Amino acid sequence: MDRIGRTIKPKILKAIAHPVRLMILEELSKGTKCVTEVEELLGTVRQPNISQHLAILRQCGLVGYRQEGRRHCYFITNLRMVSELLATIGAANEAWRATNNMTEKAALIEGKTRGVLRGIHRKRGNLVPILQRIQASFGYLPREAMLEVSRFLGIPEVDVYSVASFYNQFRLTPPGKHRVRVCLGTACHMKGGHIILEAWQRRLGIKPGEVTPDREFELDTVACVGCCAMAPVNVVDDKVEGKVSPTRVDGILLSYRLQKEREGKGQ
Amino acid sequence: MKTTALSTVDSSFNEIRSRALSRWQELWNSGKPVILVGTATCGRAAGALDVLQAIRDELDGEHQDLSIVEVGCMGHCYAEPLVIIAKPGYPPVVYGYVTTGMARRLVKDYVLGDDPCLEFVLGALEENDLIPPIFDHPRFKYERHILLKNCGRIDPEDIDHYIANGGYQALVKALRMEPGEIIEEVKRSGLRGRGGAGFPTGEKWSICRRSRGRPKYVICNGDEGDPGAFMDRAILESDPHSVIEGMIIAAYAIGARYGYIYVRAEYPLAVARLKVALRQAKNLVLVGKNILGGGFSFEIELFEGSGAFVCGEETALIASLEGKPGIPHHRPPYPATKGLNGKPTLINNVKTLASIPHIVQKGASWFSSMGTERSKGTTVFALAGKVVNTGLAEVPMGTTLRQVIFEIGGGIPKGKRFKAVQIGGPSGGCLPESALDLPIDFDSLTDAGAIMGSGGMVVLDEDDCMVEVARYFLEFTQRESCGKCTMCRLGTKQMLIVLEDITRGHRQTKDIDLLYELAQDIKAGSLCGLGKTAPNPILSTLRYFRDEYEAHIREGRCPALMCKDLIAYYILPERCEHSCDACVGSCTMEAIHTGKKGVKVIDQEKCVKCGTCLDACPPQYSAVVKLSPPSRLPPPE
Repeated sequence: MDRIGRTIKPKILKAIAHPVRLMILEELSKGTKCVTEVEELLGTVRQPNISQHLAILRQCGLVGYRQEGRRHCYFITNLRMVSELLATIGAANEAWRATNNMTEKAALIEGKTRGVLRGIHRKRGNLVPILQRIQASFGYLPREAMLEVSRFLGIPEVDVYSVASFYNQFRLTPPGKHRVRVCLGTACHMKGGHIILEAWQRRLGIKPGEVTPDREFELDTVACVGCCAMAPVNVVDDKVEGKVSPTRVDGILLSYRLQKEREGKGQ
Repeated sequence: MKTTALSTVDSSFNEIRSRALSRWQELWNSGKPVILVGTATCGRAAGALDVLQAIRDELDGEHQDLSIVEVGCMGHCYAEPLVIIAKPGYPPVVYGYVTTGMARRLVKDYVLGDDPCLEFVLGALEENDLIPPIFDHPRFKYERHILLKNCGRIDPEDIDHYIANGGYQALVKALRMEPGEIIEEVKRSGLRGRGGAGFPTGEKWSICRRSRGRPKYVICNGDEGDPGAFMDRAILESDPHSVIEGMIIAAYAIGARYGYIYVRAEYPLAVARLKVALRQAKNLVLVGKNILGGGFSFEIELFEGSGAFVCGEETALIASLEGKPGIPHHRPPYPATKGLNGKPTLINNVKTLASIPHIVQKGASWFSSMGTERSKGTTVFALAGKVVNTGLAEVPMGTTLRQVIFEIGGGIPKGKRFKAVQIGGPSGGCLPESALDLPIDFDSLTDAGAIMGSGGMVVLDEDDCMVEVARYFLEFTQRESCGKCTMCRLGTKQMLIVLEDITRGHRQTKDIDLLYELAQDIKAGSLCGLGKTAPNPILSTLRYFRDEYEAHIREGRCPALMCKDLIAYYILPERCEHSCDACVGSCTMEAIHTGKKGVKVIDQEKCVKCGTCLDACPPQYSAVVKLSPPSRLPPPE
């Protein structure tokens, strides 16, 4: 047999070298479709972009085109060849993922991230809002999600990471079930915020920024929540607790424990 | 603007306004009681949502047609949760410190009955024969509400409330004026940026208008990062439309097409209320394409910050909007010539923009009639710390610190002695009693070693250690330094280490000189305001409270009994009332036991110095004391 590299048309290699075009081929191999149908099936990609990709696929002869009334229909010219091609690429991809420890969980995160990214304009200025949305949906910024974002915006991975690690709001590890944030604003500090922080540290046995081993509580500090008149302030989950004392810390913990016991009985 | 376009603006606004007015009239003149509940974040922290629920529960079944309105913050944060009940035949009455039980009684006895529950009343909002008006309170002699006029009186989630109280009229007036006229008016008003630096607002606007480049941007800086400041939060939560209106006028004046409101993510309620406000303004075409049919277009987008103090600096804020880490860059070029995406960008603070509608509406001379020679208008202070009436206070510039702290703030609680007031957050400084008669304006505060800053004012009493205060602020700036400039990144760290050692009593006198030296270097070697002002808290405390530093260093003693490593808790046997167990029960560490003759004793090994026993000990005994240095503890028996 001749060497593959000698006989294959470079145009075909170029045509399949894009995730969107692979997705288009996958959809078209299930049957003839018009542009808007392809757009609906692909979700995130917009119609002008799809038309560009279809043009490339047409140029190398992988895809054919005909007009049916007002519909611009596209179809696969050589279905056997394309199915073989997709099967081979799919198998190769699986092998790649297996060797790179791309687990099911990672794929899940990737999928969910794509869902979050749907409908967002691809510009650099949206990076912070995108990361905020991802954090809102996962509770933290998973590695796979950040990689997906870098692909989505077409910026280097390090740029995503530098933003994610610069801002205090973003976290790179999964959160605990209940989030305790101790305000250390000026007023809170002067009224004993650091004493309250120590009380939490003692009771939970963790430092700020850590999560208890049972993942029930996580402890954090916050620069100021703007409730200085109520100092010292804690924010437990999303509830603002004003004028907290070390005994109140015990009280809050007790109420969560009772709530958990009640839930246990309920089940 | 063309005459035809102007008449469209007038007619479409008149329609909006008459509808808003009739809805407002309907609310107040329906012959039924109206209940206002303050549900800004400060109110919520005090339990306003529970109070609201209690009122709803109590009214359940009957009188469903009563109006319950969620309003913002009136500024009386000390008395939160606040409830205002307006009943036909009575003046509107303000109730403070409302609990769920009180709320139930108010509904039963006053709303459904006719007993105004005088024991809960803070004051009435109108002159009347029955209830003393709230304006008799001494603080109202000094306060002048302009920015806070609507706060706590209107529903921030209902644009009609704002319009019925004169809102967006300034916008209509501005659209009738030439952009140059508006800028001239702002210049003549003498308004200076309320973000801290005090740059003349009109000047900034005219630079931005002259700058070439399209599109231009207007950014509202709501990244109120100073710990201890919460005026911007209160305004955004209580009266968001005033800021939006100011932004649109600014955009018209400089010819901007797009705007961003940059709000801290730590203010979720402000974000939520701004979203509602923007949607409503868009629905009435007050924001968006072809505003009120007059041909001018301006879009506003909300951008949530991500918790970085340095993003309050304008170039860092722009970097953050561009999706980069919030690291400042060199100025010039100033954002007014080259800002967001390299285009001319106007950045103004929340309070600056909220002042604009008032200036346009009432004129520059009205605004400049208030204040001092070089600082005009009013300023909003957030009073917090060791002061009786914590909350917001809006006073004309030139009011003295003493009036703000003692007359409006009501002085120091528990009969303690005033020691210092910290103004301007981490960039500001601590002023002692001798500076109290200083009239507050941008320049006088700078001369005294503090800065106006955004307006956070934290009052400190004799129990607060000034070294610890300086250490606290340095810890903050050190953590928030973006890391670009070496002196800021490493210099603040070195200063922090020195201060930490002093608060532990480990250091020598020459460290004070070292602190001075480091402070000079950091000021000289930093690019942005964060680094340049980071040494201010230390310099000002060294200037006014050097004796406290020396007590720490020489004697290992904390004069304010605050630094934990230099104090010990002790129960005076002669004062301890033997049969009382208040401290034993309160101690979370179980460090207190009953010793000989029933006197309580603290186990120093177990004690974590949290101070709960001190609070728990009944005031008539006051047996728990703090001793410094700990070597003063008598040997255990």
